Amino acid sequence: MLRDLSLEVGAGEIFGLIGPSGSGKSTTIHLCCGHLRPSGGSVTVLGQDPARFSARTRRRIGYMPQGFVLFPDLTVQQNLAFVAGLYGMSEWRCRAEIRRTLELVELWDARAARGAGGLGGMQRRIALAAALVHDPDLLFVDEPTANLDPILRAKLWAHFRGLRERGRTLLVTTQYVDEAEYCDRVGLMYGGALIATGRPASLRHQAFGGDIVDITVERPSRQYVATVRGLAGVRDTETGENETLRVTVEDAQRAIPLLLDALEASGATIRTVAQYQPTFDEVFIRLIEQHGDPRPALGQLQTSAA
Amino acid sequence: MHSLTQIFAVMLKELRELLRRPVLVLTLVLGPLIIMLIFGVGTDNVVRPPTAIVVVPPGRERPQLLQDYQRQFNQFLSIKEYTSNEEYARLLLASNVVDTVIILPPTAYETIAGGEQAKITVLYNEINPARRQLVPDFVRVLAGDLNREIFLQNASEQQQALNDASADLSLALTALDLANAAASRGDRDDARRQVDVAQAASARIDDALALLGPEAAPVQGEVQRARARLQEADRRLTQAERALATPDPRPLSEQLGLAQTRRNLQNLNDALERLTSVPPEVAIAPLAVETRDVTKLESDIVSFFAPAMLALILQHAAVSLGALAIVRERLAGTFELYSVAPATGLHMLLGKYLAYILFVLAIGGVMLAALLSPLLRVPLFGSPWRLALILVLLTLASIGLGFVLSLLAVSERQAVQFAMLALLGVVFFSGIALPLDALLQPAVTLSYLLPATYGVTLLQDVMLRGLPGEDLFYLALGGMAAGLFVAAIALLYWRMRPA
Repeated sequence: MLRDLSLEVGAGEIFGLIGPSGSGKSTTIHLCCGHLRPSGGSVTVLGQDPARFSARTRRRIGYMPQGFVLFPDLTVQQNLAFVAGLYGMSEWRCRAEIRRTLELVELWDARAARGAGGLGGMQRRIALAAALVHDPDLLFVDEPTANLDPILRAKLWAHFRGLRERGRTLLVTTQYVDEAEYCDRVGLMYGGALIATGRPASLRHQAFGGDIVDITVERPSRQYVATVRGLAGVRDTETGENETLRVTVEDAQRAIPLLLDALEASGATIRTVAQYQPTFDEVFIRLIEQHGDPRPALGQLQTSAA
Repeated sequence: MHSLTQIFAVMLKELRELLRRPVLVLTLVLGPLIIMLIFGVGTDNVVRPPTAIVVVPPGRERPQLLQDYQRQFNQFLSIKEYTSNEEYARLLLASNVVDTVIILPPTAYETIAGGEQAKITVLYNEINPARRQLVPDFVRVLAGDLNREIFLQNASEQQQALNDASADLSLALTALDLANAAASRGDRDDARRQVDVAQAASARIDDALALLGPEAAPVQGEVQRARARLQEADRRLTQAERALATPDPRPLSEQLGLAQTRRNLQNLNDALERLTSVPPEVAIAPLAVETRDVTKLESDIVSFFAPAMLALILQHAAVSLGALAIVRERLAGTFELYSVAPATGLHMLLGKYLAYILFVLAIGGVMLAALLSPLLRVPLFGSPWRLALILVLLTLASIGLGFVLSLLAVSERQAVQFAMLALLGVVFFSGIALPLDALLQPAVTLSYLLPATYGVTLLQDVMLRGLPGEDLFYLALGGMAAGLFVAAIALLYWRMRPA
């Protein structure tokens, strides 16, 4: 069940809906595609209520479902021809489109292979090609990288970015939080609610209250910490392991020269300085905690290493 | 234009999927043909007599009845063994080693001669209701044959007796003539001798007529009249005997009244001639029944079952394919694709209809060609156009039934179970296993809910009888196809509605 969901996706962007399993990502996609009706509120896609999509609007929409819903006994090309036919494209007249789409997802050479013969990666690419064959303006993609190896994931995201470059709009769901990097904007869903939205960098900023700078000094002391805390733009300071001082600042680029000057002036010997990029795991866990929800269980959020 | 493309895309996809499964195609096409072929080669349409163990009276190797009528027993029973141990015979029957136990009476002829029926006891042990009547039918025919044979033998013997009676009658007539001549001469002694001869002959004739059995029924009236005339002649002969012993002023010939007696005996002679002129086999079975099978169909079990099998296979193939066609896509999530794409449920259903009609009709065409080929030699006496119409209507209705079942099913397994139930329904209620007029309610209603019921009847009419088939059945099949199409559309939109 979804609650308090308010979301707007702009034209020509990749919007990633990220969250653990059961958080409401696919439900959101189904609402947008018209498979489900909202019990309250409204959904508008390309200016229409999904329950009343016109045929013209439907032709502007591509949908890649979570599972492989095509036909394992048919070849790659036959599957694509079938979907093209559903969009009113005659198999014999749209050969060029089929070829272009298969080449886009690198399946042209495997066009005679059966859908069942490929591994999950191939089936995901067939499904993507099926969603793209009629060259839609808007693409709903539900968990495209689930259970794929990292190389295939990267390839699929490369396809998505290529589509974005060609002016297409994509609403993509994923459980892999690190895939937020590939999105123009991200929405974090948890427990049926959208708890944060924004560009990936801004979500980091939002989660930790600013940028994080790690400074390693010889023989760290309380004096150094006090020195740093007194500087303008510094929001938080903590000492970590291995003589590291972790400083949260408004803007790392501006704060780093000031931090170095202040520490050297107080006699500190600085070994390293670097902006720390927290993983999206950390970002999302922090955001979920800030939202007041219990910390997600281990494994609920997945990374590509999982 | 888009709609046609969408329908065509679905149709092409379905056909490609079907053809991608050659084992399925072979099973659907070759399987039934091979079964029909084996059925044709492996059955001879002969009802074999039941196997029997015969219980003979103790101490008798073969009772006289068995020896005299060996041919009849062997014609109607396949006798495996003779025994005098009835318990042993009953044990074999209970163990299903033999179909029947025949217990012969110890003294058949003596019982019959004593004026009673000699009873043959027959035990049988049949659990198949369709064969339960087999043993009684065989035994009834055997009993009839035995009785007729015994009648025939008796009738021959009586015919001989009648012939003897006829000779006695000639003797009596001659004696009367001689008595009459002696009376004219006034020779009382000779007249008495001749009257005695005539009386003795009359007594023998009376005995012979009294022995005639029911086999003389057709001339029983004649016999009765003959006996009355004989008694009248006998009475007159007795009077003549008395007249010869007493003096009388009238002429001797007048006293004897031999002229009337002779007329009586002459009438009796005519009656006996008619009686002896009836052959014994006519006398015992005066009515003969001649049956002629006017069907154009040769007695061929394959030809009889071929139309029914064709209807059964077409319905089963269509229902099975249809039942799986939609539920699989619905459960796999393919419906989501349809609901996002501009193609509607109607496009999808029409595409599937077209694909399965083509596929099932192709199966039907191949099967039909094989049935009509010189190999199976199933006849087609009726119109090929009618045949084509039946196949199309049957296929349409069956596919509709399959789609409706598919849309009602909640899993593939349930869809398969529905298809199997439909198949069982056809086997039991469509007229294949049992004639339709042998069914009672609610089986009759269920029967007419199955497309194959109409298909079996219409195909048999057109192929085997050369009839056009009942118009009502065509209408029913067409109406069923239309109704199921509407139901499938309604169910499909219900299934595709947004949650």
